[in-house]
Amino acid sequence: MRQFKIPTIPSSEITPEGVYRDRRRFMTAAALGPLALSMASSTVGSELSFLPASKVTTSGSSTDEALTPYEHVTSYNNFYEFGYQKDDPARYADRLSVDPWSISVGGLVNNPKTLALEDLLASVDLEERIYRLRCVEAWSMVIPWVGFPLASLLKQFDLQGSGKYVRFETLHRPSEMPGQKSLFSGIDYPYVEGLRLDEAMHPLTILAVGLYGKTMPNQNGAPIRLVVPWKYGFKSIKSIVKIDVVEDMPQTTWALSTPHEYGFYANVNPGVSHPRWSQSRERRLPSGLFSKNVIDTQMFNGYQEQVASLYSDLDLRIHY
Amino acid sequence: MWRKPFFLWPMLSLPFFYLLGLTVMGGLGADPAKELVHSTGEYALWLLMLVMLASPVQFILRRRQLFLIRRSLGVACFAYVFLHVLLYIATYLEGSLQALIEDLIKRPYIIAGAFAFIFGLAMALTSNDYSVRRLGIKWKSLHKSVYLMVVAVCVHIIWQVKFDYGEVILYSTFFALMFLLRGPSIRSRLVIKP
Repeated sequence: MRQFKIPTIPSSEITPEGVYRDRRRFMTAAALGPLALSMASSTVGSELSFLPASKVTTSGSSTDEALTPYEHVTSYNNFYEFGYQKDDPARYADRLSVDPWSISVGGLVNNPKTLALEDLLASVDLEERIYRLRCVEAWSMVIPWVGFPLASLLKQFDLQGSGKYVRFETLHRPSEMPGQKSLFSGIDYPYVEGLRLDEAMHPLTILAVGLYGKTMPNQNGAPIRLVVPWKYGFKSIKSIVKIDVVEDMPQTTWALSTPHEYGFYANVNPGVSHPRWSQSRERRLPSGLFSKNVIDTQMFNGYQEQVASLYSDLDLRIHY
Repeated sequence: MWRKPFFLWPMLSLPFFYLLGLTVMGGLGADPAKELVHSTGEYALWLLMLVMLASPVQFILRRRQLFLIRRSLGVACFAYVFLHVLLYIATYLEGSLQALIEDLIKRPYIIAGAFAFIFGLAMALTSNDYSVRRLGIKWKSLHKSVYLMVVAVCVHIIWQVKFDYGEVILYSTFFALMFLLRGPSIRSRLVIKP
């Protein structure tokens, strides 16, 4: 896996070229942190966080709960494009080539365009956000993402007034994503997710390009993925290639495949149980047999204060 | 050797010790509960496949080995089913009776699983020589409930599929084939005369 390194080594053969060319971005990001100085003087080649996890919070939206260890965050994944077992993505995702990468932004915008990832990254400020991630399967993690608000990308576009939703699409490349070749799959790839425009513009909603201060591992949705911390994990679509502003509620992958189980909103809600799982509790990973870590699930995954107002006129039992 | 297979129980308990080892060594990853519940269920399923295979192998290929150890395979199968259920109650439900009742009322795949468990329990409890003698002709009909168990198991796994039917199609097709081979007309045509 590629890692960001302190860009003082005068050679682009150590650091991947894209990252290398983008070094000022990361230095800027690092400079935001109170430890910027000590970081700049730390050993060359060490695993550098852009921002040290323990020191930086972002407008109170980061949690101070114990982080889920890196090895678990990167080996326990749902990314069906690479297989259905939790360890399949870690095993097979290195087949995916993520460089070069570009995202096309279009739909109801007056200036649609396709952005190369490095150009996109040059236009935003990266920050660390430590978020709870609650999977609909009743497990959860705490992950230090590195990313930027989705709003800061969308604001670069001239949105038409009729746009009410944002639709996201994952890469479709069966040659590198074996799961997309499956014969008996319940749905058609590519994976599609969506948000209401106000959800997409919410400051908690980010596009993440890294975790634990490193570039995003492929199995976690490299090179760029959505993170919407108050919704079940499947909303946080991975390896995004296409973002469209649309008028109608997008037909999203899970909601299409099993509508009575997965809704469009998919807000974390302990009061509405899923047909397969009660949602009132969650296994906070790692949750050992002898060191059990099962906790109550919080409304909106604990982000109630920030997001509840978005849904004040929705019956969340119907719009689950 | 196949009537008193000394190697059988060590072999059948290998998966158990493998899981035990992983558990103790912390090799089950981030979510050991899920891993253990899933693995024990899978081992039980494979053993059930062997059980169902025994009879067709016996009457088609005239190989009696599998048939002779069928009862042991069945008991081992249930041992894993039992572990599977125990671990599900202990970890997923945190030992809560209320959560169990809720699952049994609300979740169809759990209901199907419960039926499979009950059929398995009935057969496992009567899988000893004493019961065989005692129940006589009734023993055979009781143990025909393995067919019901297979159906319940298939429903249990099919209803859990979220996305990809590949694996359950494979398992279900296998069991359907085992059922078909037992049909009298097919069976009589397939039997190889010794």
